[in-house]
Amino acid sequence: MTPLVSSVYVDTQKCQGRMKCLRTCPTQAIRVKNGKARIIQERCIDCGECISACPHQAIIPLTDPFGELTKFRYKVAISSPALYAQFGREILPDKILGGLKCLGFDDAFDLAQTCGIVSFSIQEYLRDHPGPRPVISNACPVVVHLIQVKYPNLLPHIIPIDMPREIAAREIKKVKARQYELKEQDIGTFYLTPCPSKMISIRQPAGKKRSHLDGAIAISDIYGPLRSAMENVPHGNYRQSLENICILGVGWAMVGGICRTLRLRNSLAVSGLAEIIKVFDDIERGKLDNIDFIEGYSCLQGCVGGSLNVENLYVSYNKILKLIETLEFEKIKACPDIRTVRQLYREGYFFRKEKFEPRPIRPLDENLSKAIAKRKEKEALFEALPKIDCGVCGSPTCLAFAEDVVRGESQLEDCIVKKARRRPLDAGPESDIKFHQGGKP
Amino acid sequence: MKLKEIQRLLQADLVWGTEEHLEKEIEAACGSDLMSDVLAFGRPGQILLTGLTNAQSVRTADIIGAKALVYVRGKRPEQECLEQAAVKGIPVLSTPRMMYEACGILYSHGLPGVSPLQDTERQADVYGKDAFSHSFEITGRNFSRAGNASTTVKDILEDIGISPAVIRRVAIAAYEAEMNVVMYAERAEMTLLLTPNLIYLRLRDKGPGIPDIELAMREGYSTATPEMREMGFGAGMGLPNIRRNADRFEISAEVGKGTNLDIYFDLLPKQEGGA
Repeated sequence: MTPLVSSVYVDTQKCQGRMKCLRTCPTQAIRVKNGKARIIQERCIDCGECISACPHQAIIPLTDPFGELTKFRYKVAISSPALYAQFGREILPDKILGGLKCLGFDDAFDLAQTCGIVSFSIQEYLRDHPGPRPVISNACPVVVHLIQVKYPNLLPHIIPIDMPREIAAREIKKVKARQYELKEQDIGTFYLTPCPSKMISIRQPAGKKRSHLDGAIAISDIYGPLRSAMENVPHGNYRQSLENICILGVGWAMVGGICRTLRLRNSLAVSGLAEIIKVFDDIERGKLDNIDFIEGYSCLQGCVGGSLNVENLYVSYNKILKLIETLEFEKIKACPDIRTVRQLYREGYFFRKEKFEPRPIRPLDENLSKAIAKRKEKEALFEALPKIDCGVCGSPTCLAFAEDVVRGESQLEDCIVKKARRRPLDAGPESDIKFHQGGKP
Repeated sequence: MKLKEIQRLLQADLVWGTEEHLEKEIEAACGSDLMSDVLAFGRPGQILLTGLTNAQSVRTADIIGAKALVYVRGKRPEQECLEQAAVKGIPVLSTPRMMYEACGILYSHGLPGVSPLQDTERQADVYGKDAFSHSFEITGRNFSRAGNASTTVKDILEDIGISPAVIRRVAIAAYEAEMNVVMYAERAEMTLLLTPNLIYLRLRDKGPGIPDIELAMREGYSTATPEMREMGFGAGMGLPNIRRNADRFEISAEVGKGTNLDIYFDLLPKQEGGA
């Protein structure tokens, strides 16, 4: 098995060991050792929370630097609907795509179009497949990773339809290669991403050998140059520009967008990792069997909440919402033709070939008896710890620290609170112990 | 029989404990130096007589919910052991009588033992020396915290590397059992016990009990209030759902006192090693 890659890495030069990331990480994938943060790959689900938490910008997303496109003879920018959310009704997608073409791309592709046909194919799938309910959207790679790591039982719930960006890249390569008589590998497809997790889903796609995309560029990296570039793009006809927007597709930028534009009645739209975890717990307990479809995003409000966006997430959420409302008001339905979609659906155009595999966290021990013994040890250690989750030992909580000690990755002496209290480990719970006050300042 | 009476009969010293402790009503007793035996057969409300003076005796007493510890042959517990007993609030007595006499005196005065009537082999397996146990307090009517215990059960099983399919069954059973307590009982103790062969969930609740267990086990039968149903509970699937997910399931109840659930899941040897 190839070693897991994480979507972020720590710049040890910049890292000051301030432990903001340690406390923020929802899967406890970070440890701070010798004053530097370290990411435990198997626990990381690429949510990017640590990027925003770091006060020194020491946690860096593995996106491709904008400008290094020269490897390819023909370069296509694939624009996430979240990019449109940065601008809303003031600057419509037509102009944004025009701007991208001024930035060194040979073409700019409106991903909302693909999102739209994928929306329709989801509808087809829900109608055709009685399988386990609720069906879970795979739009957010963090959610997929969460399921692989923490909810392997829910893997069969993930929709087997491929992500729009993958389908788009696959088709672009095919079409452009034919059109310009090039090889498919000469066509570079670059996704403009609102979050680092999309990057990792390109470098190391879950349940896939290889992604059709060649790279991801952060929206925040391209935003400035794009703004300047768009100054030279003439305003198009407003009505015409509106008509070019796929109402089904732009909704993919925000939570609930797929369900809303498809008018799915029995669906849930959830955003924020903590909330998703609650919903997944309920699915496992069989409490949500009556729901057909769940759209879950790790970022608040969906992709507009990604850490690589520029605009405030509530503002951009609203911008997309207003855009959809405008299209509804103007009765514009530049949707893909459902009959074409059905034809493609039957041909298998939308389906992923590979399955998502479970990615469970390594147990305490491969041997069950030993694992049980270690779990007992972990519990006993935890009972003897201060349980204040100060994080000074480098582990996010006392329980995580107990586990790290049992796994041999930390030393008990790393707990300075325990040291200060000068109390032997096996002395039992702490209720009767006081902090040593005073001493050196 | 009150603990005070036991103290008198055994001419025992109160090593740790208060007058209040001595007023406790004791229902049964067992005497043993083999803690695995005690774990296998002990039950809440009993006292434990033992000659084993290390911390294991206190831990065992705590796990089975013993109301007092009596050390025989004039033994005094180790200091560490005493501290733990104090923390757990288990009174400690010491009698000059030897084990046989101490037990005989109490038995002849009507204090029953705890010997099991059935299933001895399985229980011994559950509580073997390699067992892991973790107990949860569940409070009735506390809907906001409902589900916490079963989530922790799931986390523990993941740590140990139990296969996802088994974890799912245990988590569902634990959740249903937990919800039954939240909906109907005052409070309960849920204990998760784990050995390389078996996962065992034990629930002992203090609550209304179940008048007709056969009826309660029927799918769709429920006594839930409209308010509970509005919250999505009380479809009358709880107990049948536990039975469906478990490999073995036992239920007993006493009206006005409480309900006992014993839920077992077998672990197959092929689990070892994992994927």
